[in-house]
Amino acid sequence: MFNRLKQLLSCLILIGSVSVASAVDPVQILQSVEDTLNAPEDREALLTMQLIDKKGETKNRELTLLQKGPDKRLIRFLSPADVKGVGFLVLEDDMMYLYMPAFAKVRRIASHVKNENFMGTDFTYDDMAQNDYVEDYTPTLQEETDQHYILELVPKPDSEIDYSKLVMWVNKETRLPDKVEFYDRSGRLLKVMTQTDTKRIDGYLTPQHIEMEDVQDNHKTTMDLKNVVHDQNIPDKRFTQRYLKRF
Amino acid sequence: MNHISTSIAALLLGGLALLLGTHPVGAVVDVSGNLKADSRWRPDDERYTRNETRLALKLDARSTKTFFHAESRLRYFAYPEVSNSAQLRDTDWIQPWRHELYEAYADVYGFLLDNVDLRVGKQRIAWGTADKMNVVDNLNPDDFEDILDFTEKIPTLGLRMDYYPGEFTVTGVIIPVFTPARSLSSSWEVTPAFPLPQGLALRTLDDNVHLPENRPRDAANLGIRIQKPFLNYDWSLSYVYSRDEWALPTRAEILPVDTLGTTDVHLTLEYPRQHIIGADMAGTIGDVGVWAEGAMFFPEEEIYTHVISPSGTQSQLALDDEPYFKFVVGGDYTFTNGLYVNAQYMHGFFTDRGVDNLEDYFLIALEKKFIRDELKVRMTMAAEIADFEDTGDNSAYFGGPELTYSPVDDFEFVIGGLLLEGDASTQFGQFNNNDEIYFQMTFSF
Repeated sequence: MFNRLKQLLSCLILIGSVSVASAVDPVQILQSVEDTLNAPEDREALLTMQLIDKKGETKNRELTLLQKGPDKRLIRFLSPADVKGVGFLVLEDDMMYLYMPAFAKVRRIASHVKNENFMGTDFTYDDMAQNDYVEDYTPTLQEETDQHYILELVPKPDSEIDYSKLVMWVNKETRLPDKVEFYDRSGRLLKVMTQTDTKRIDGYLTPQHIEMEDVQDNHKTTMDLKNVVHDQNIPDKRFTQRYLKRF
Repeated sequence: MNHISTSIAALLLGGLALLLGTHPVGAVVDVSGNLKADSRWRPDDERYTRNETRLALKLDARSTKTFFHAESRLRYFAYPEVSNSAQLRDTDWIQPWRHELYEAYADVYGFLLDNVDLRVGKQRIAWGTADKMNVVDNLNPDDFEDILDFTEKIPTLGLRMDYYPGEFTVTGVIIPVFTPARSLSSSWEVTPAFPLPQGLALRTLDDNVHLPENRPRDAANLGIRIQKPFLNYDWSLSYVYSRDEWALPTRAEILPVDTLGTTDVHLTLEYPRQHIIGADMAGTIGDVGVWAEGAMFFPEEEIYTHVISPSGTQSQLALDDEPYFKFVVGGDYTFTNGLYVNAQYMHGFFTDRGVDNLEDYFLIALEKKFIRDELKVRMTMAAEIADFEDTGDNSAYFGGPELTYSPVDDFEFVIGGLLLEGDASTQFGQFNNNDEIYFQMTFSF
C-alpha cells in the first residue's frame, strides 16, 4: 500500500513539475520509469519465452520469477527438460548464484555473465535484471510526442553496461518504457524491445507481453508474463541459497 | 538379480508416485529423465571402448514441507560378453545391462525447528567451491568408472541436517556405511605393479580387499561444515572423519614359483582412517570469478605394508602419519566476444597420498557458444607436473576438444576427443596410448 502511494506521489510530483517547469527534466522522467518498474514490494510470475529464428522456427522456455525490490530475484527453469530445476539467484552487490540439480551444488557466479545471452534468448542477464536506469545511465530528452518522451540513455563511465546507448520511448501516461532501442559498442542498432498488453494487476501497471528483437541477427524472443501476483510479503529468506536448492 | 532389483525399484518408484499423486496433502509428482547413447573409439587399438545406452528415470514428489527424489539408471552395454557357448542361451551375456539406483532421498523442511532441513537416503553431498576439482569434497567416494567424468562421486546412504542460524549455514552429516571408490573401467585399467627385491620377477599379482567391519565405529563417516558470507565472499570451514576411499596395501605375500626367481604376489588391501580439515571460499574480483579450497589430511596412523617372503618379514612404510595439504585455486571470466575461460591450479590429485606424493596440475577450459547457444565449442587442456626440477621425464599433458550441437530443445549431440601424452610414471601419462574419440547423443524429457 505504501509503495502504491509512493508511486502515485512520484507521478503527481512529476506531473506537477512538468506543468510548472518550462523544460522537462529527463532524469526525473527516468526516475519515474524506475519508480513505476520498482513500485511493487514483491512480484511472482510465470514467464513463457519463445525464441524465433530467421526461418521462423521456434524454441520455448518456461520459468518462474520471484522478485523483491530492485535487487533480489530468484529464477527457476521449468523447461526445456535438460535445464529443468536449474535455479538462478541474484542478490545485492551483483552476488549471483546458480544451482544445478545434476551437480547437487550451489555455485557462485561472477558478474562477467551479465552481458551474456540469457538461455539463448535475445535478453542478456543484465536486460532481465535492469531496473536501476538512473544509477547506470545519463538521460537526455531527444523528443516529445503526444504519447511519449523519447530519451537517449548513455551509460555512465563507471557502469558495466555493454551498450553504447539506449533510446527509450517512455509512455507519458503509464511511465513505462513502451519501446527501447539498444545500440552496440560501435553505435549500430542491435536490439529493439517493445512492451505491450499492459494491465493493472494488484494496482500496478504490468506489461504482460515483451518482445526483444535482435535486428543484426534477425532473431526474436517473446516473453509473456502469466499468473502475476504482487505484494505477497515474500520473506527475505526465500532469496537465499537454502531456497535456491528447493524445487 | 538385476531383473529383481530393477523390478523392485520400479515397483517402489511407481507405488510412491501413485501414493503421492493421490495424497490428500496434494504433493506434486513429476517424472523426468534422459536417454543417452555413448560410443567411444580408440584409434591406437582400432577398437570400441564403450557402447552404452543409458536411460535415467527421475521421480520427484514435493509438497510445501517435503521433497522426495529418486534417480534410477538402466544401462545397456551393446557389446556381448559371451565367452562360452552356454552363455549364448542367456540374454544377460548377449546384451549385457545393469541397473543402478543413483540417488533416492527424502527431505523434510523445517524439521523440529523452522530453520532446520533434514535429508535422509542415498544422496550426493557436494562440498567445495572449485569447478569439479574439489579437495574438500570427501564424503562421497570417487567414481572413476567413466574417464570423461572422473570428478564424479558415488552418492551414498546418509543423514544430512542443515541448520540456518542467521547468515550461517551449519551442515552435519552422518554416513553410516563405508563405500569404497570405484576404479577405472576395464578399458582403462593399468597393469598392476609391486616393487620386488632385486632378482625376483613377478608372474601374477592378485589381492584381497578388506572392507571395514560393518558397524558404526568402523564403517561410519562423519562431517560438519560451517558456511557464512563475509565481505561479499562466501567462506566455509569443514571437518570430516572418514576412511580413505582408496585402499592401501597392508600385507604382501611373496610366493616363489621356481628357483629362477619367478614369484607370485598376493596383496591385502585396507582402507585407513583419516581426519580432514578443510576450508573454501568463492567470490569475485572485479568481474572475475575466483575460488579456492584447501584440505589438510591427517592419517590416523602410519600404514605399513608387511612383506612376507620365505626369507622373513619386512615392513615398508605405505603411508606416513604426517599431515599433508591439498589445495586448488581458480577463476573464470567471459570476454566481451563471448569466450569463456576457466583456469584452475590443483596441488594433490584425488588419488595422491602423503607429503611426498602430491603432484601439481594446471587445468584450463575455453568455451564459446554460437547460433544462440545451439553450438558450443569447448577445449580443455591440462598439464600434470610430478617434478618441477625434471619436467621432461615427470610430466604429462591432456587435451580434450569437444563440440556440442543442440539444434532443437532437449536434444544434444556431442563429438569430442581425449588426447594424452607424457611420461608413463605420471597419472595421465600412464594412459598415453589411450587417446579416444567419442560420440554422444542425449535426449531429455
